[in-house]
Amino acid sequence: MGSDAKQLRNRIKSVDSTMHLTRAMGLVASSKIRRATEAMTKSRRYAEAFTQAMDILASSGECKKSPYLEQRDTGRTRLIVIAGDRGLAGGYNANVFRFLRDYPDAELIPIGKKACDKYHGEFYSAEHFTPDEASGMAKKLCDDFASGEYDRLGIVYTGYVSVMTQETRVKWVLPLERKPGVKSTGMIFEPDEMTVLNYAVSEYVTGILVAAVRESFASEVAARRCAMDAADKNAQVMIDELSLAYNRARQGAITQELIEIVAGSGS
Amino acid sequence: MKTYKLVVASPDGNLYDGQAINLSLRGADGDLAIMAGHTPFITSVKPGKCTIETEDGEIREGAIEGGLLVVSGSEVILLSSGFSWKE
Repeated sequence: MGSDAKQLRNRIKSVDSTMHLTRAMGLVASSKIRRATEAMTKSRRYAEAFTQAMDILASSGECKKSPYLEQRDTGRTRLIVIAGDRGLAGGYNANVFRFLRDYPDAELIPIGKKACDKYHGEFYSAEHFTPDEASGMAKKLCDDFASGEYDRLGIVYTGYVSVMTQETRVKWVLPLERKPGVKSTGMIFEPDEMTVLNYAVSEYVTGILVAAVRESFASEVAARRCAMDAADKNAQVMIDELSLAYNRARQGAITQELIEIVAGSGS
Repeated sequence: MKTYKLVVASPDGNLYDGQAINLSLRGADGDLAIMAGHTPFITSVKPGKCTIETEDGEIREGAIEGGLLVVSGSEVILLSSGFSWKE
């Protein structure tokens, strides 16, 4: 009985220290949520403004022949994969990797330590991703697209729906699509539509990419907070159960000892 | 002086968002300035100096690495991932 109680005490101690850890991680995540969602909103606004401008450009007649609007269907796909820098965020990273099973032939460009480790790419941090890094990446991707090295470019990221809900999605970036209903009449382009479009594409991809990384990071932090909250609750339940068992074992040991003493004095 | 709404947008937030009298920078075909009432216009921006005259006449200077300038009826948006103010 005595050793039983000791074992239980050790387990309670270890669960308790795990709980401290999950609680600390949860607190760090919740303090990061606000900053991450702010950064997300800002970059999203930029991406939206750029998308509007690109829609106008792509809708103009002269741009039809631009290499960036060319629909090719040989199916060579490049995907930018955005995962987290760290684990312990519930299903966040796993969901991204599971999503990629639908695209077994795609060439992958990872962002975030977890994705870079898995797909052996050059390391880019998801938390500290800079527009400069995005711009370098975007330029190369646009040049490769124009020279026909691949046929479509997508970004696999995790959309931030709310603190409780995140959703893994793919956003197709290239080739550009002509949106019906957008008109460029009356707009003056300098020097001309095609040049402006071809020039702006890499900036556009940069904007979209930064927005996707910021959104994914906000999702990561939110997912981590939820996971840590749940872990915290589970640990508490475990501690309660173990404490009960421990007290019972302690009580049992005392009773046993008393019985032994009484039995000894009676003989 | 007549003013118009000017937004200098970058992926990490708006670097300028307010009324302005004049914006001058280098476009694809050369230096240009935008004042209130400009016709709808889109151009790519070349790297160089960018000067904004704010509502109260203050001149603010910055450097731009490239981007896109969109002048629509209601506002002027300068989209750039490489814009920084002069210290």
